[in-house]
Amino acid sequence: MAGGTQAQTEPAVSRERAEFQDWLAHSPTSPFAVLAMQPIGPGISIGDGGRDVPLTGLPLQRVVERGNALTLEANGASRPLPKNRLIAVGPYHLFASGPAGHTILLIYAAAPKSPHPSTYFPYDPKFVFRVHLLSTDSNRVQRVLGPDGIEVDATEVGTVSVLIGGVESRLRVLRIGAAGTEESELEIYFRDGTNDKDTYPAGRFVNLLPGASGGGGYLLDFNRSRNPFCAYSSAFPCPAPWRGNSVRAPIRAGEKYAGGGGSSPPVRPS
Amino acid sequence: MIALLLAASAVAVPLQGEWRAALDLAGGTLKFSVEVDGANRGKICIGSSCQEITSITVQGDTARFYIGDYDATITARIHADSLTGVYRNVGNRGPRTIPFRAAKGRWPSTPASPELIGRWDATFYQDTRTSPRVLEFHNTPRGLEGAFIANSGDYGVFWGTTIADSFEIAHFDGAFVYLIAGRLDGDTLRGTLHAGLRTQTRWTAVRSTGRPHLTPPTELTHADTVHPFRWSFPDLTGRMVSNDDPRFAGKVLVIDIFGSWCPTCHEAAPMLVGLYRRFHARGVEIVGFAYEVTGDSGIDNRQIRRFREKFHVPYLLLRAGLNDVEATAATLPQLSGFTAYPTTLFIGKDGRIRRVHAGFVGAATGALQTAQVVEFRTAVERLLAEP
Repeated sequence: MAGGTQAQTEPAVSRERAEFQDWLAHSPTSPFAVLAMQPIGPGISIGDGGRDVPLTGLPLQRVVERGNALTLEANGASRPLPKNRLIAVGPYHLFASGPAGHTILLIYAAAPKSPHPSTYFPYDPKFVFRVHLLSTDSNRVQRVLGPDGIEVDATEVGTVSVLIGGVESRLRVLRIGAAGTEESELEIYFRDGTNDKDTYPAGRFVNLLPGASGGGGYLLDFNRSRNPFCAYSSAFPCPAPWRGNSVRAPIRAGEKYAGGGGSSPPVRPS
Repeated sequence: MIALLLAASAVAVPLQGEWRAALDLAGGTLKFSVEVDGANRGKICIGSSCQEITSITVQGDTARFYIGDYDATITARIHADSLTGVYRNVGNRGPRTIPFRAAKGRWPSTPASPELIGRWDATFYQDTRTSPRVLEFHNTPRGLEGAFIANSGDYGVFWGTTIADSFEIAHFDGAFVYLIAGRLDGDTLRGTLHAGLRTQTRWTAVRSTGRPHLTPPTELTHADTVHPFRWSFPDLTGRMVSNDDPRFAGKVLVIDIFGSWCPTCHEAAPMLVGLYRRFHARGVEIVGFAYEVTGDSGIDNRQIRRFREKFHVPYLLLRAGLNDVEATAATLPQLSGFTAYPTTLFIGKDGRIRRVHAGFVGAATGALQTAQVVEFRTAVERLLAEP
């Protein structure tokens, strides 16, 4: 069996895009299946005649957070609603996540509705950079909206520099962790000269990929740039662009904007 | 359906046998084994530790291995003597996929040199933060095995290979994807933890001195030790059971806060069953508080019963709630800093908590697990000796 590491090449990007398109089209947690995204706060009502989220075919329910525990209450009965798990309720699915007191409820239809396939710029190797992360000492933890519009704790870990269109740009990198594991992502949320024309106005996300050599370098492949979920559905709030992460030149690589989603996202630095 | 069955029987022979499998992470190769029998039943093995694959289906030239506990799949194209495809589990932020490949045969067994064997105190560096871990290595008939231990317990068996002064050990169970690579540099180990496809964390380690390197499991979670511990949860028939139940009056009580979904809790169960058999006649009760996945009593009770049957649990199991750390903590307000499944509470004859042990170190940790067994028995003996 041939040895090898993850192929960081055009075929790998094609495969990732195909996987993502399949997920968008068929997954029960596709952004195209989302009907509503609602902060729970002191409690919300959903279902037939629900004040916060009216849903036909579901008896009126109330979602309440008490002492860090979520419950679904209807007709004097209640059941726990676990976080970070897709729960079937009548013809819908519910997914609650976020820190206590800031819990967000996503309500999904049974299947994605009219998913738009994403469109991409042709793969362009000139937008693939080998970069080094210039670390910061502060490692400030801040709350930001992730690609899915849900608030997460993110650690400021440093910057990377790229030369695009003859101009060097320094981009901030935040580490966003996954609960309960040792995994995390090094994310860059950036704007560039294609926004408002070919790409989503609020900006796009891209990950830093660790180099195969393990020598501390990273791969920054803008062909892997992807839209925040607010580009797919106006149910999702859009992350505000990250301060300083603007590249004046157009980065004609990665995901384009196919229309739909939030039409006028806020464009102001966080 | 008939076509599917025909396709399955047509390729059953090529899948049957042992496969040396790999996940290609950004910075390394995570090696494990897949074993398939003649009826297309399979298991994923990390060295000597195996877990069943829920189902294997074959359609045309594509095999699908489904790992039900984590709703994960490995989908692979079947070639003459190899498989290529992807491991995938699904989140709400997109698919999580990692390239997978396998070839017929068994990974070579490469025992490690004595310089590596034993326990090492490790420091993991992420950004400017550091955190303690313990690494443990031992040789087995399957080659090098190890354990990776954090404050809340270990991550199960790691298995791997060595070449000269370098080594790699890995753990894959369908959800956790961990590869620890390192080399011996004088009297120090240096390496990288690869978590999932692309998280890399640098670490160094020195020989354990025997002094505690991790936060002791009895200091992670604190309890109200002044008042009797109050609790009330339904048993598997729905009948409420509480600390006031006469069966617990004047007895030493051990409470296991666990989940049927939790691999470490599965490792802890035989030890607790042994503890019960050893001490029950002398006035010790054990109760398991199960924190489960769905919140649906029918589904969760079924999973708890399956756990009870698997380990022949002779003590009472109650359905306590959901397996979210925050939700669990909310049902146990007399505990603070709840962090780990399982957590074991030792309660005196007067009903007050005397000791809280967070986490559990499994068989992969060798001597540490032996010490833990002694610690549990000693804790119970001390409580029995109280007036």
